Amino acid sequence: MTLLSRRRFAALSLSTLAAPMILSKGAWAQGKEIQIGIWGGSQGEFVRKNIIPQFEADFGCTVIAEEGFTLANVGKMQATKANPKFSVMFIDDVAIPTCRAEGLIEELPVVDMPAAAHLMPRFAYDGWGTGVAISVAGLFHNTSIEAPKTYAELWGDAYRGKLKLVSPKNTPSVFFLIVAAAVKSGKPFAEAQYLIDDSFDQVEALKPNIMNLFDNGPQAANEVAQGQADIGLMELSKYVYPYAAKGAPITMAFPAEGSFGGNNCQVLVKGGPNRDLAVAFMNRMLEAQVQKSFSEFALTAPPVSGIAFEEPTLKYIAYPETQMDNRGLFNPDWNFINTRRSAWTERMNGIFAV
Amino acid sequence: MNDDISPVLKICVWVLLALVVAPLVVPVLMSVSDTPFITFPPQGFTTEWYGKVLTDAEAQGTFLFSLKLAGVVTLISLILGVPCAAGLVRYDLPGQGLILGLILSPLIVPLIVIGVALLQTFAMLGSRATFAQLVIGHTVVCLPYVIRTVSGSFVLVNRSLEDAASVMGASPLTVARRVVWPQVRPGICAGGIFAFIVSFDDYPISMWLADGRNFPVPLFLHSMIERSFDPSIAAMAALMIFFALLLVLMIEKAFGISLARLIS
Repeated sequence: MTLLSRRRFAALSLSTLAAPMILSKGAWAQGKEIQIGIWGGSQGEFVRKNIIPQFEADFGCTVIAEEGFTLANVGKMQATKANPKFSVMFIDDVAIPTCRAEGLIEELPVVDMPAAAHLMPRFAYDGWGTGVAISVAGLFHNTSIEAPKTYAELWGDAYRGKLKLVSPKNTPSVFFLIVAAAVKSGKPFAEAQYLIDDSFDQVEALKPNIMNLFDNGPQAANEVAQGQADIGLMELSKYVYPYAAKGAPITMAFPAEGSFGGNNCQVLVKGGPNRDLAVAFMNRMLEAQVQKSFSEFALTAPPVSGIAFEEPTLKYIAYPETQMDNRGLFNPDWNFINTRRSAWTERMNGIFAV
Repeated sequence: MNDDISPVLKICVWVLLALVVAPLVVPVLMSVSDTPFITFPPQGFTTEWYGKVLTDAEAQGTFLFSLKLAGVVTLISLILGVPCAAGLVRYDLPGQGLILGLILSPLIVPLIVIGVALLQTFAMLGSRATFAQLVIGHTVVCLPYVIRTVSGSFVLVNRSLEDAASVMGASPLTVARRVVWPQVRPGICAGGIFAFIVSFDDYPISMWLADGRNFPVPLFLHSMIERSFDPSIAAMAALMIFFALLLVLMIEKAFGISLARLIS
């Protein structure tokens, strides 16, 4: 007969007590289901094929992902506000103030999101969302073309009819308006963004150099790679670098005035189904291993610190945080801009419609 | 009969046909380009993009889903649309204009507005049945095409033939089967084809109502364009063109509808 020592007995007892808790990691989520709105493109592909299956396996739950884009995703939250269908929504930072003001999203329970401890404060949005993937916005150009050193050069005769401009309905068009205001006033982006109303003569002055407007970044990048235009402005690196990585003759340029941050974020839908599971999913999106593989696939920078990347990836992303500062990655004042954007869109349409 | 057509008209028809068909040739040419990105004119020649699309499980899944969705929508549109068209043409109903206007309104109201309205309605009802939502949404959009086409056929039915058959002792069912059906069949088939193609190609309604499990081809194509603009997108577009062509040829073979009758 084998006798148990007191120490061994205590250890076994503790193990027995702890077993259900250890084995039930995520047991509370068994059988639950959430619906999330994600982006399309390579980011959406990675989330659907890699992140969600692992999360479902770990928690025994179901996550249904619906691909979309910021405007559509905000529209879906608005349309289903009375009886929310989605639990987590991926949107750009530009839309967070609007969603917050309309009561579409709720403040994150950060205590339940341990991975948020490494979130850079600039991507915390006062607790109403977190960054997920950070792109850099700038110019994209055919590699056979020498990129301008400053944005001001784009107004020169050398670029007559050779530029593709982003459509006013796309977020990067706001970056262009800030650039135009900065070129006119000679002030940095942080000040120039408040001078856009007085800068539309500068916008109009670029018209002779504009070949056409684009609203699909990957398509525009493809056209520039084929040499149909010399330069495209402005676009997020996540749409351009995947082509460059494939060997297409295209790259990005970030003129001396600075560049912009294109911040893809996640928010918690107010009153959405299975809130606890939604929070767990948002936490998963911030975990270091997920962020590393996500960033390497989509060629975007993570919003969390402490991740080590190999040189091939670092070539395309602004990381770590010091790199974001070195590149002058500017994040506009969306609260100010959102209230004026529809009027600016009308004015831009008026200039470029004919 | 062709001898009556003037050469000028013939030239005009061919030019018009070329203008309509030419854009369809572009994706077919781009789909065989041997480059990692779309280019026109194509560089080199390869069929690997077709292989990529045809062996991709996701592409196959969305294609089969779209087939199922369009098939169900076509069936429901015909079940609802044919009696509706017959009733509107053959009977004087109170508020007939209003009924017709309501049925045809999806042709006037922007589809994106219909889509968001449907999403809002389904959310208020607490519905989570995505496939049923898509079927309802697509049927709303496809029904006007069926009713317009089938109404045209019923208007052209020769009522004297029905009277003659009845006088000769044919039962109403026999009249419907032997006299009316042969006359309205082209319109019903054309309406069915329209409904199928409109549902298969729909983006604006699906954008609001679809989810990850119920993901039709147009949304998949849009997603592919955002992912990477390589020739597999052109290959997928070319396959859709071939599929539509095959569909028309199959219907022509099965039902014997000549192009002239379809146009009429």
